Amino acid sequence: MTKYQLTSDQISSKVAGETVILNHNKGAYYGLNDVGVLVWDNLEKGPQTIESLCNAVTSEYEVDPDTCKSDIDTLLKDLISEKLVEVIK
Amino acid sequence: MHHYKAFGLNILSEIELPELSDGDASTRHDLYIQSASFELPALENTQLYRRGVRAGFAKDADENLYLHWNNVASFKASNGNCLVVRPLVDDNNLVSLFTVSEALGLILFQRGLFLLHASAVRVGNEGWCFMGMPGAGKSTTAAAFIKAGCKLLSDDLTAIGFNDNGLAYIVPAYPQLKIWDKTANGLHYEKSELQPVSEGVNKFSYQPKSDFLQEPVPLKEVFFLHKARNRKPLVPLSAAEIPTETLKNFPLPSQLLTEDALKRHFSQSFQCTRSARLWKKKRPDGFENLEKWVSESIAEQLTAG
Repeated sequence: MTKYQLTSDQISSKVAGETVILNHNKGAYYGLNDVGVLVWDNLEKGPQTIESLCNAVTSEYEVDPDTCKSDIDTLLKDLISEKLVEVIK
Repeated sequence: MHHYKAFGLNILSEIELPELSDGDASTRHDLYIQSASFELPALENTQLYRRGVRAGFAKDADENLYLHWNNVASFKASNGNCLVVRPLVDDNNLVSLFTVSEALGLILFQRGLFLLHASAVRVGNEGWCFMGMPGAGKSTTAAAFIKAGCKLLSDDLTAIGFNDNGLAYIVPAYPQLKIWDKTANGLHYEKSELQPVSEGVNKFSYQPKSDFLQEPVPLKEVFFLHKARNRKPLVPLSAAEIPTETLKNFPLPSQLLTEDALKRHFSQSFQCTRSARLWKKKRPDGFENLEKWVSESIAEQLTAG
C-alpha cells in the first residue's frame, strides 16, 4: 500500500486555523484550503495512505468517497510536485 | 579600548562608537570589535544601500559573514562574538555609523535573534514595533510616541529574542532616533535637545542617553505601516503574510536567508504571534492625526494594563 509523508524540505505553521508552509530549499511559501489543512494535519501525524486521508475527510465533510479520493489524489500530486510530500518507497 | 552596551551585549571595542551607551569596564564582554585588515572573499551585490553606497556580501566556509561598503569600511562577523572592522575612510563617525547598523546586525543574526528593519518604543510595559517601506513613517511614528512620554527601544534595526517560555521580547538597541527636520517641527521637538546628523542636511538625532532602557521589553504590537488610501486603516496580518511581510523587512542581505536560516526566520515570525499582535496599519495623515492615534493608544494601553 502506497504511503505518503511530509518531506524534510518543508516546515509549516498554523495560526488561527490557517496553515502556511515553507519549502526552505526552494524559498517558496504556500497556503492551504480547509480540506488541504485537514489532509496536512493528518500527514503531520505520520505517513498516511490515500484511504486513511480519505476517511479523515469524509468523516468531516459530506462528500462521496470516489470524489474525495480523486480530489485528494490531485492535492497529493500538487504537494509532491512542490516537494512538500513524498511517496514512501 | 572602549566599553559599550547595545542590543543587550557588553561590547569591548577598539574603535569609538559614539552612538552606543557607555558600558561597564568590569563586566565580561560578549562582543569584541577589532580594527584590523583581512582578506575579503568574492562578494555578491545586496539589496542594501546606505548613503548611496551599495553593500557587497559574502559568507565563507567557516560561516564568517562579510559586508563591504566601497570607500567606507569592510566588516567580518565571526561566531556572534567578534566583529572585525577595516576602515576605508578617515571619518570615524562615518565608520561608526556603518558599524552600528548592518554590521552589528550580522552579529545579532549569528546570535539567533529575529531581526526587523523597524523602530520600536515602550508603551506602558509593552514593546511596540513599527515597520514599512522607506518613507512609510517608522521613525516619525516612534518620535510621536516618544514625544508623548514613551521610551525609545530601537530605530532602524530592531532585534527580537524569545525567552524560555517562547515569548517574544524586544532587546533595546541604543539611544538614537533619527528624524527629519519636518518631523522635529511637526511634533514640536525642542531643537536644543536634538543633534544634527552628519549624513543629511535635513535630519536630526534624538539621543536619550541618560535614561535609555537596557532590559528586554515584551513584544506586544507590531505595525506594518503603509500609505495606501484604498485599504482599511487597520487589519490583522493574515497567516500567509506573517513570514512574507517580516521577510520583506529583513534588514540584512537576503542571501543570508537560505535553508536553515530561512526555516528559522519562518518559525520565529510565527513565534512572534504567540505574544504579539501583527497589524497592517495605514499611516495617520498628518502630525495631528498621528498624535491623536498615539494619545488614544496610550490611554487604551493604560486602561488595559
